[in-house]
Amino acid sequence: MTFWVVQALNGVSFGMLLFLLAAGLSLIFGVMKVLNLAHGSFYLLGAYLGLTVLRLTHSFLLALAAAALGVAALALLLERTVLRRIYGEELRQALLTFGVLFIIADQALWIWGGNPQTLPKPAGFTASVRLGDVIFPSYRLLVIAVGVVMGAALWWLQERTRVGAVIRAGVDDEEMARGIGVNTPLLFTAVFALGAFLAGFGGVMGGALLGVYPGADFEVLLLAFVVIIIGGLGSLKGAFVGGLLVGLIDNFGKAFFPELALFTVFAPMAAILAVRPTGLFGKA
Amino acid sequence: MVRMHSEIPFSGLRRARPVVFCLAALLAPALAPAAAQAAASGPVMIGIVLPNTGPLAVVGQETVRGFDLYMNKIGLRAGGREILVIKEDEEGKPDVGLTKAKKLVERDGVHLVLGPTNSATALALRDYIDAQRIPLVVPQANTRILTAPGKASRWILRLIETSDQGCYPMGAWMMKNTPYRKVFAMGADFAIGHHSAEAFMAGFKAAGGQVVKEVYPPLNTLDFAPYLTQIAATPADFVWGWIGGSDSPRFVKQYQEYGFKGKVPLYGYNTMVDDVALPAMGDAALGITTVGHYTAAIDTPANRSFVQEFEQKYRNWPSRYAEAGYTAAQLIAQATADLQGAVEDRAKLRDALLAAAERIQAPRGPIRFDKYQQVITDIYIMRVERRGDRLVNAVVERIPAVSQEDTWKWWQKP
Amino acid sequence: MRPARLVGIFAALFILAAPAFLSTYYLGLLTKMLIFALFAMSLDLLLGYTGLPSLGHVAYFGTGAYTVGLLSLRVVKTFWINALAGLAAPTLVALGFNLLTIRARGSYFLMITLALAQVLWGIAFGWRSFTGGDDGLPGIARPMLGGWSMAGEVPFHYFAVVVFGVCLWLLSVVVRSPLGRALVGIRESETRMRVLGYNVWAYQYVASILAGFFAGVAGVLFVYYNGYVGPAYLSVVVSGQALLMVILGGAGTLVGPALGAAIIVLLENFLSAYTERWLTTLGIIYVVVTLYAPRGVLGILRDRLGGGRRAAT
Repeated sequence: MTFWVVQALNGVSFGMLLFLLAAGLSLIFGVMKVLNLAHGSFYLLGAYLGLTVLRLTHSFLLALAAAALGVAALALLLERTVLRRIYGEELRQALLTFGVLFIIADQALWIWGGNPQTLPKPAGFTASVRLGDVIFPSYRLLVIAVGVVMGAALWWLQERTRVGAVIRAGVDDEEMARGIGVNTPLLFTAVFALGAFLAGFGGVMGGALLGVYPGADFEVLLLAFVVIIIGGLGSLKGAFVGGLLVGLIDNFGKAFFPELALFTVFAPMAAILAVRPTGLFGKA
Repeated sequence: MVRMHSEIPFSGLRRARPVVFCLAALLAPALAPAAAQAAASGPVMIGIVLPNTGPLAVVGQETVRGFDLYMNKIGLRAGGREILVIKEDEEGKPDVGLTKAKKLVERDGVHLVLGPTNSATALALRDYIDAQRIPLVVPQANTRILTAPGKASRWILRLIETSDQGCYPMGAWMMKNTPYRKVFAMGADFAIGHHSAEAFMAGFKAAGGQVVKEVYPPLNTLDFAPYLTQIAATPADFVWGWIGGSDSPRFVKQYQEYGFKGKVPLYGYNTMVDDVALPAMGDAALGITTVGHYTAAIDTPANRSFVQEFEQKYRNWPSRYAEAGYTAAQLIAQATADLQGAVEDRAKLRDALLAAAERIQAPRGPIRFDKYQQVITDIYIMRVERRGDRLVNAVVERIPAVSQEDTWKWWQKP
Repeated sequence: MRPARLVGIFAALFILAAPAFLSTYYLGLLTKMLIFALFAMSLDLLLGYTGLPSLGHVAYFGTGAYTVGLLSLRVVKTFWINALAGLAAPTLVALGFNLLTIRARGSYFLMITLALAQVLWGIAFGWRSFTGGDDGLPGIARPMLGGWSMAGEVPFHYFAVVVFGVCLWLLSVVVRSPLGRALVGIRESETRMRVLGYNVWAYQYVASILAGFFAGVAGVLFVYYNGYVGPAYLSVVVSGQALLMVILGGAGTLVGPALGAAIIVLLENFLSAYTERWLTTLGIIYVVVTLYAPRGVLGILRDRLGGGRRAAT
């Protein structure tokens, strides 16, 4: 019994982390049609920024804010100066972000070095809790809670606010949206920054859980891709469900088939590709 | 002027000049005659092939720090000649390492090569180094295959213990010095992880212990929970693991988070808590007992002064990787001095390197080479303790002069 | 004489005569350039001519390399058998993968090709007992061809030159054929081609198989070149570099990517001697090229030199 509870909770907490990562990527793609290959780099940068702020201030909240806002600011700069010049050209934009990936990865290596680090957990969540027979790290429960709250907040933003309506309009039909007066350049900038914000936020949350080190950007990007392929591009619900699915499958897969550890993540992805290429909730 | 470009004879050719010029400029260095072997009055040239980027970057950088520390200490001179060090980045990739090694040997004309870190790179280099007949000093790549009978090359010297040399003796040590008899063995799922776990289990079983379960999480596992939660389902009374690189901090922290620390003691190879990763781990690492050829806490005059010099320059304690770099520099400098600078004859240089082992005082203790050019070195069992405000791998026991042949002869498995 | 042709003749002469004046190190580098030029050109067929951007092209490169490596180490050393298998395997992989991918477009295509290539990487990395895992397979001997050993740099160079030449000729035949023109048409406007009665999916599928085949050839050459194969031969970074080579050289020009490959290989080797931050430089090149020179070097050259057909972009 303990085994099932622990694995399930683990799967969900990992899934929430994946959701945070995939949501930003999915949002950016849904609205701007840009495949942000530097998304993993935003995560990495967020984690490192959070690490530095934590070392200076010992405040997890401050680190979260600084990292998320810092990465969002960088993304804003990127979008304004560079990305916006090649609006509408999907491939060029994707390739440009690929170049950004290299640059950020190398600069991060230069600034923070190559040692693997973990972010210290926030005060109050460093211990493990006892749920009957089960011992479970309280921080992971926090990640689950934060993930759910973030998911709710994003859903509320998307469905219940004017901003959300504008975003949804942009996703559905950008030309039409522009036609009815939506300031698309501003929308794009805002969405790109929001996506980066989520990635940076995820970086700090994930950094305390899994650590940060050169190469994390790539690993995270690939996982986000898998989630999105399964959940569907441009869909928040897809990112949430996809994240949960991948998190659970990965955990249980590793427990039952340790030799196939790397497949447990890619197998469902290949299955979806074969059966429903646009993903569970994706738009064609 | 209305004439089209194509109508003007050779106008295109004139326009093409900048292109051809650029191509030529790019290729010009290729046409320069290859660096001839340095005359005996030029500097002694050492080529370094270590990772400076990629996941092993920190290991490569630490090695270079140790190396530079000693070289600068002797003023970059030995045997009456200057020493010139050319550093190349192998990026942790075997094909890049091979290309860089070729550049160092064929274009730069180095007298010997130091590197690599990655075991796969070392194996990829083996045939090339052997064919080129140039000495290669290996500071890290600890795959047991490199210096095994039939595979060892006369030109490849290694300064670090193989996965067998470190892990096999620990098996016997566990039976003698701890009450634990049933092990849950783990190893990262690649050659070194498997070989290390295999060696430990063999040593442990040979001494009477019992292996209850083995698991092999892939490299870069983000979440060890699926593996850790299996421990409770077995009658194991301790865990032994080979974990390294960026997995180490995660593994150690998660071991504590899932409630195993304090309940099931954790043992392993020193890469789990090496002096590079240890500071970031905090108290989760306390009590973990590992085996390896070096810890900065070794209490000998030679090591104390090394640690002091290193800390003065780099503001950190040296890791096992820095020590390997330092020892390599000592070895090379001593060999150069013994030859009075005459390093052109590569066979003599190689022999001098082998002989120099017994004349240097490496920080870890005495070393010499066996007949496969593999180091015979002291091995330390160490435990993570807190001393003041830092975590150290404190020495628990020293096992002197362990050779790869003493340990379980894996290549003669029935 | 058109400048392009002149440069081409100069390059061919250079490559053929190189062993006479290049040291073994630089000769080896030139051979490596040829191998990656072939890899980049194969990607150009898919990206430049058909308009399908693949981030997983390395899958075929790596499959060819691993097949040769595994066979020559464990089964038989005969070159013809290993080479044929090394060409058949990536073609089979291409046949399979592209059934899944050719329904996608644009960014979807990027993601899916990337993810599929990663599955192969995962196999190479994880199935230690078969593929050697992260260590890869060292000690692969260069082939003997009709009594001649390819072990030396010079014979291997000529071997690579011959293979490259044949593939270049084949690719240019494909590109100039009705198939090639149809591909360009599809790249320009799928709907138009469909209306004209072309089976778009079939043309794209065939293009992807051909592209995979030639990438496999490059992989076979590379494993013999290094005497080693490892998971890095299936890594996304290599796919990304191939993409950069195509864009840098000029997509849709076939020869442009070869130039792009030469530039990147040279840069990679020289830059790392002068700065530790060469990855940043590579990234900057990426950004600059996509921003200011999306038609690549060849695109710029053709604009400035005037004569000749405009690059098809």
